[in-house]
Amino acid sequence: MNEKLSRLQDSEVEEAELAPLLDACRDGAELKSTWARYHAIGHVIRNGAAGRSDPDLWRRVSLAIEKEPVLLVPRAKPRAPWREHAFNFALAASLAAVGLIVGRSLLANSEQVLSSSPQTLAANPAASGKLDHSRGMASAQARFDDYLLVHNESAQLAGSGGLLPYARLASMRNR
Amino acid sequence: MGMVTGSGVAGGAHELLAEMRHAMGRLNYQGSVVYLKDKQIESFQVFHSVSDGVERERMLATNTPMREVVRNAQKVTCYFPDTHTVATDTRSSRRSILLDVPEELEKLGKLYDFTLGDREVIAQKSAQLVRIDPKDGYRYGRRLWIDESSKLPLKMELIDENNQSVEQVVFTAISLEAQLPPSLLEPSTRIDASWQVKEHEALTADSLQWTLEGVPDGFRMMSYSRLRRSTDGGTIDHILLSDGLASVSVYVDDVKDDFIVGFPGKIGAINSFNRRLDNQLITVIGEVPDKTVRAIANGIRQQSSGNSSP
Repeated sequence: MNEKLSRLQDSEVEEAELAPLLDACRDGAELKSTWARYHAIGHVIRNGAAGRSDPDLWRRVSLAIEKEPVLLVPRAKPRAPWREHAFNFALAASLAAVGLIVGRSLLANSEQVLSSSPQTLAANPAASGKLDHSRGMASAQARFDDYLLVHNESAQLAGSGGLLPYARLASMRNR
Repeated sequence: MGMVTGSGVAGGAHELLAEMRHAMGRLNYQGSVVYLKDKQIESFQVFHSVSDGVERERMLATNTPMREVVRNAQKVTCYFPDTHTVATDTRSSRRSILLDVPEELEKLGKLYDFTLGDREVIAQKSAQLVRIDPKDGYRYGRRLWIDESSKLPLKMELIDENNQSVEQVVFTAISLEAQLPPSLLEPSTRIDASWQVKEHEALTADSLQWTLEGVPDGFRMMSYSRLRRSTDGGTIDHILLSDGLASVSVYVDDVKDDFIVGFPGKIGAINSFNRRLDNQLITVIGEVPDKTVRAIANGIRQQSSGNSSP
């Protein structure tokens, strides 16, 4: 049920699932609380608000949910024209070579400090209360750096990367 | 193109880019390049030679940690002295590390407008500006200043959706040479057994597990890789997309521990966005606008179930 709530937050719930989910939320205090938390998480992610610095936020969101259950209606999904060109990897497979890159994560153990302070929360609802925030942030930073490194290493495959990907690689150390 | 340009010259941008590509592949040159992003500056030395039709190229950072890229006919090798790591790639060796513009410029015309701009002086040389403007909001623009004499690119800017320059590379000095000593094309970095070597090995596509429904027009999949991480034994699927100019990486990470979403990354021209898909972390990174990485990340579905949702 928590996962359905999470998908509702992302407007990914099918219509057939919506009515039972709304009924369950209306009748269950625990689900209301979960929904409030997810809503706050979404708000923080989208707007960059400092969610954890406001201890009263959960209570206020819960109250808002109590008063305005209409908030549970998902946002309409915009259908951009390019969505019609669904990118089907089954079709793309013929173009693709699958690469196996074996190596350790260059920055997996990095203790680099963030240059900015992104507003982050645990993604796994079951573990959200247990997350060691600072350790999680360091891990997320290391993971992000690893992704960035691989992207820049491989960007030459993709077109006009040229000097830029390598310049980015060289400049990563200063972050 | 049939467009009236800033310099009053109709068309010509495609032709000039084609000449630039040709010049980059046949001239011997060396120079100093500066890279600017945010408030950061890096400088490099660049060497390029052609002998018997075979290109060799080397780019060396002039400051610590002295990272280096060497390209020859077979492969591109990146040296990272700070992490004692070497990365080699045999698939991209025909592409210049200086500036690579796709051969099929006409196809890019569906996604970008190419126009000639004004003439300026770059590195004490007269240069012609070529503007590359996206036709939608899902990619960045580019500005290229091309030496009118040699046709080599002297400056490049990446332009964001607010018409702001987010990255620049500029030659501060460049000289054409009859030939370059071979030693200038050899890596200066010395490696030993303590260095980690990362190699890309091409395999057959047989396990594509994802569909991407949010990919803007014009982007194609360039590679699908699996990264193995010895630190935690995990694997990361890496999908590389490109529209011919911009590149975007999609990572599907089977994270075993708690993980964090909403990690907004913007570094220079690079934007990133991540989200949870079941118990996996989806991260999209690329030199494209924020809304592009969000659209791609939010459109990812697991192919086996047809949808990420049960």
